[in-house]
Amino acid sequence: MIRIGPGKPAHKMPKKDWKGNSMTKRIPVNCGSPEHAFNRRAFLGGVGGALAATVGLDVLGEPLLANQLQRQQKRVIMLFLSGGASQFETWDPKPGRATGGPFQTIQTSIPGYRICELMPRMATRMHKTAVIRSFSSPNNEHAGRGVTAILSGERNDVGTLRTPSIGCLLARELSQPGSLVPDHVGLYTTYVGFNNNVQVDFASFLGARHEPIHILNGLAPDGNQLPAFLTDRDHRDRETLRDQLAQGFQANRERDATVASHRMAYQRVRGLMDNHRLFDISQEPRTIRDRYGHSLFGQQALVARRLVEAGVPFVRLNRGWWDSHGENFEIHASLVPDLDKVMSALLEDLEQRGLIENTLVVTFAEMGRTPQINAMRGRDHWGRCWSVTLSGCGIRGGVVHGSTNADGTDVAQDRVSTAQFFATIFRAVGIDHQKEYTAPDGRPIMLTPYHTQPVSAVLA
Amino acid sequence: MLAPNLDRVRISKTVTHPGDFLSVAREPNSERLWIGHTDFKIYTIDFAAASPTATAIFEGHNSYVSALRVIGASLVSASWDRKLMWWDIQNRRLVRTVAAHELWIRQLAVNTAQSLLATVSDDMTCKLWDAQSGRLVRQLGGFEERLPRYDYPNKLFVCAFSPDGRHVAAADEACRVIVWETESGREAARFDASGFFKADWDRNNHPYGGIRCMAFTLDGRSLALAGMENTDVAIINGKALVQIFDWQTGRKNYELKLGGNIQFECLSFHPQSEWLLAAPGAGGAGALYFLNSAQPRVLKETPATMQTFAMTVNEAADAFYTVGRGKALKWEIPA
Amino acid sequence: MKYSNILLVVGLVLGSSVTARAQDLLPPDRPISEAIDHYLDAKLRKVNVEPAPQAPSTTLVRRLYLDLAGRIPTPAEARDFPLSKDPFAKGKLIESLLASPEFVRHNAKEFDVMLRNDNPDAGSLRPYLLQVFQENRPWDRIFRDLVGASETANPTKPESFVLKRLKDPDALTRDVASLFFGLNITCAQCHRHPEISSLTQDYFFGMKAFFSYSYDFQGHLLDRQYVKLADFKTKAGETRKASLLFLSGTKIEIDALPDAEMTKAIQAESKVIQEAAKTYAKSKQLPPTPKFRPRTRLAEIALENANREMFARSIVNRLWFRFYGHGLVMRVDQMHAKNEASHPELLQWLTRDFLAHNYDLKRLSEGLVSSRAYARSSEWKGKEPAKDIFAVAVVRPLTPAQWGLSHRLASNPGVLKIGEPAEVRRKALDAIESQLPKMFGNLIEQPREELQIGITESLKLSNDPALLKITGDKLVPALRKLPNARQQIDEAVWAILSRPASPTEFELFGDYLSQRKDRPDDALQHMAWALINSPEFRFNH
Repeated sequence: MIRIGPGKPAHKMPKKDWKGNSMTKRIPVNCGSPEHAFNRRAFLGGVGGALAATVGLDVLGEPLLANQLQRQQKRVIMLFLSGGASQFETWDPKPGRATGGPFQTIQTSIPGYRICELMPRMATRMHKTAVIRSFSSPNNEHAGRGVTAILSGERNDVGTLRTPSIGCLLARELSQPGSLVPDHVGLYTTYVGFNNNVQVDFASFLGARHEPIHILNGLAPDGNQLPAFLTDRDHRDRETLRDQLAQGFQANRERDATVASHRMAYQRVRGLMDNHRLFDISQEPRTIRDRYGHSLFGQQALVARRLVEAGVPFVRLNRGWWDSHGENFEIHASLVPDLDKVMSALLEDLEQRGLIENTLVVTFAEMGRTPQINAMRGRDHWGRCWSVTLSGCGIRGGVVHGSTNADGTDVAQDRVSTAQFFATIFRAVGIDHQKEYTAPDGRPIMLTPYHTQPVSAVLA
Repeated sequence: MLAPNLDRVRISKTVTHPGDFLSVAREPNSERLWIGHTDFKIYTIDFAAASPTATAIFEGHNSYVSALRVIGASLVSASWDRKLMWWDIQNRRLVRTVAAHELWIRQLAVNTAQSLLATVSDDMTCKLWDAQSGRLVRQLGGFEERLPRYDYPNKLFVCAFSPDGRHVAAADEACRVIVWETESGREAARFDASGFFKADWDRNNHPYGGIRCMAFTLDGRSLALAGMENTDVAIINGKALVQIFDWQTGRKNYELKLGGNIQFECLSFHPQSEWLLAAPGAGGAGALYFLNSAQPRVLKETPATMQTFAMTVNEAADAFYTVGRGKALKWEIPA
Repeated sequence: MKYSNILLVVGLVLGSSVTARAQDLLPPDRPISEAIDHYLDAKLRKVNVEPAPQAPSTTLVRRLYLDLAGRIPTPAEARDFPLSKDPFAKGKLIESLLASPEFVRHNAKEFDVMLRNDNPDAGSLRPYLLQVFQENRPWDRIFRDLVGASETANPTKPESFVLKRLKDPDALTRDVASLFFGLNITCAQCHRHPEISSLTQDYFFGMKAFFSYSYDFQGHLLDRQYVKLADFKTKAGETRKASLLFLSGTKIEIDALPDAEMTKAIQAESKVIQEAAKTYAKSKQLPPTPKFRPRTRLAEIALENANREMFARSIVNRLWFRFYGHGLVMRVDQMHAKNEASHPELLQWLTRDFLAHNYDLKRLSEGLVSSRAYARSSEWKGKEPAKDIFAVAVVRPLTPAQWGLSHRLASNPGVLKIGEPAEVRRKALDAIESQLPKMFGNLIEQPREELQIGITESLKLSNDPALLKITGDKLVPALRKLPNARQQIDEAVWAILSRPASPTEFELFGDYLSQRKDRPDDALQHMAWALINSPEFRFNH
């Protein structure tokens, strides 16, 4: 047998399905050993089944429970700079070079490291953040295969198989049994990047349970609120009626995991609605709201903080649209100060609430921008070398990893691939990046391809 | 003597140089240009020479040199590094550096009497300076610090003096125009132009546009504004746009939309107002347009051959100079 | 160009490890349903499991409508069958459903999804599929059409199956092997198949080679004459030449030109193609077609006597999977020698029958849904039996198409009328289906193994005002006209769940309605909502 994965025995995997029934016959698979078949069931069924606790229901009002959560659960917020932010106007400036643009640099709290003058707030707290300036990806597009690939870790080991995106994998891996808050929320400032699903997270074979709840151009998901023509009482009674029918139907069909997930999905509706306050930033003091600023991105970031505080394991903030083919410097003069304000406010707020130790904040995008400044004073699509950052949970702050050459046209030192970056994210939040699971066609795959090394320099 | 014939306008000399020439000033009654560059240096070209070349003379700015003016024996430069610098042209030395603004300086204007300089910056102030001493004379404000929605910073792109020097005007990203009395600093008028700016919240979620150049008419009663018709994507893909307003009433009495994928970034009136010359900057290379200054129509258009970021017209209006991406050009308008 | 077939003896990749002799099988003249029950019952006896009883007739009617017409029955249709005293009523219902244009529509939708194989490049083949299911075109001809091996051009462009996939030949190779031969050979892209040592990388690249000559000329699927097949590297690092190799081991030898000449020939051909492209808009002239057409050759080889059983087995198993929720071979794209069918003789019998009847998909479908096994209840008390003994019916989530159409029928039970002319029915269905994307978008996920229903679905169905407005929109006013709560409840349950209300439901809904006597519209709407959002509606059970 040829294994794609390491020769590690799957001894940790129970030879039982998600309800604890022994599995007697495995389904033959594309490539894989019997263990993988069990493994897959564990992977898919491990969470949805139990309905024990009601974690996250009211943690904002319950500091004690919040503290408990803080100890237990890791979370990730991804600031996805959709459209592709320029590394030159943020983390990897090249002042005075032909590729450098008009902005000057400022000293950061890391000796010898300067960033773009548009980020004065982050400059003062860079000793708590790790920057990778040598991130490199083949993707140069906003949509299509390249984006699907970069969001799922640019795997070279799965052939034509479509694997889940990073957000869904994290949502799955970090979800809590019985949680009634969503596992995955995606907030979008613009519909570019959202329409036609070009940049949204995808669970593929993990199933809709791990797909994000989308919030587009607003602060709360559609359908989260009681419809105007229903009273709360009616809404509950109606659901009780439905659930009684469901119980009758399910009684002798307990065996079916999809039927069970249907009931679970309806039970989570009230959980989410009862948490509508999570999305209501007017609950926050004025000072906090001002700190995040009043851009849509800032307001969504505050929602994100409320969500992770309540136990949502993965939140992606899609801040668009950076696609500065024209007037790169004007667009960055508008957007970077906002990023600076929002990102620093978010990190500071997480710190002050004691959440930062268990919350990883990542900046990422589908690509960076060209060194060359085009005839529209713009920068075009560029995957070859750009910058990503990691702050908080599991990260060694103050590390500037890798570098680009003088004009920023290529990696000079320590190239970091998407797979390595994702492995680093998994490791930072305590997930084995080589954890193995099984695809629907039966082949064993790991969270990141075999032999992927995380960037240990940025890990605490 | 025959009048210059626009149909015969042509490029007579070309100087090439890598990178972008952003700003230009001409020594009066001469063909000597001073040119600011994206490499932070100030170059000179003498187009009177048989084979003119660009030579870097002044270095001192730490960012793009966004505007230049010749005042007597001095050259004054403004930069994205927030500074104004006075240079002694004759002795080729730095005379004075003034930390002028808190953010990038976008434009520099000088009055006809050459006594006052005006600067505008993204700190949203227009400042008047004593052209000789570099002393701050007055700070003019009134623009919004932030754009109307979602907290984006506003930008102040352009300023201009009226020909008689009694008024100075500035315009911001959201197309607000304010005119002040130079002497008193009193606000004389304000109005909002439209069409240059797109607050595109849903698609791109950032603002885009702004008034990119302005010039008073010779009688000082009207203000010509130019830029690009608003567009909803982050590329320069609209038509170039010119509007002329009676600034005292805020009434628009002239509008032209021209070309495609271009944005006007410089504007010059003929010394006797026979035409208004508009040149396209970032975007497609586009065409130079000689416009009728009274009626919205094109007198002559000719390929600009580059992205034009600045220009200067000579005293006789039979020659002018454009600078931009990779080139500086001398144009002649033979009779 | 010369070519010849060589049968390699390295071992068959496809096929069954146990092959019963034909005379040991049940005679071929038995009805399909009888063969099914014969073999399934034998296995059940062997493992000593008493299967679930037959489902109630209302459940069976709903199941048949969903499987054959792609929708729930209208209340009238649902009531019609259980009332019948005719012992042949079930067969007649199946026959009439299969004869109806609704079967053609539904079958086209099902095949369209199947043929997409989750490939994002694949487009819809619906117009083509509608046409061929209307005439019940045999599966071998459909296969030829899809791989562009038919002699006659079809305006509905079935060859777009290949054309749209040309930009990703690896995925095209996977889809062809998996859809038509039941074998996902993707893993052989990089290494030998782990369970079938004979399935080497040669097979993946050999299959891919059949499509390496294809190109898109102004929307036409054409073949080049000269192609240099790309070399591939084995896991051991050896570089090997790809050649045209079918999964059975049949290899097509081509007298390739020497390298230098080949390069020239390719360049010359490219030039001819470029020139033709320039003048195409005016002349409509296609570049010359080479004599050797690899895709046609592939179809010929696959349908040769020695190989056609493999081709037939795959679709038999896929249709079985569609109607029974679990394949005779699992997974449906792992039909190799090391992966035995749960009922090898049954699969063999069905395949033989399918071949004997000229690849007739409709006949096979009819047989599959006529068995007692198909009609079993999905309820099971106690420890669940293994899926592959088919002791109990599998609960299957509705497809987005089934759910959307059924939602509209349940909410507006009068929209289809029994006995209306076909054209009227077609228009009514067109009108409903054209609204579905706008009404529901991607609300319902396409079923797949171990589907997990997400909260987005339940949240929107619970709270989205637009969705709530159309839930039972026409049903509620109709219920209002009924004289009492009992009739209202009964009618609602018939309309939505296609069965009479149970005593518990009369009580449950009776209480609910009586507590809201002051606002009967609200109460009825809530009842309709609860029924439409119940799992009984969401699943084909």
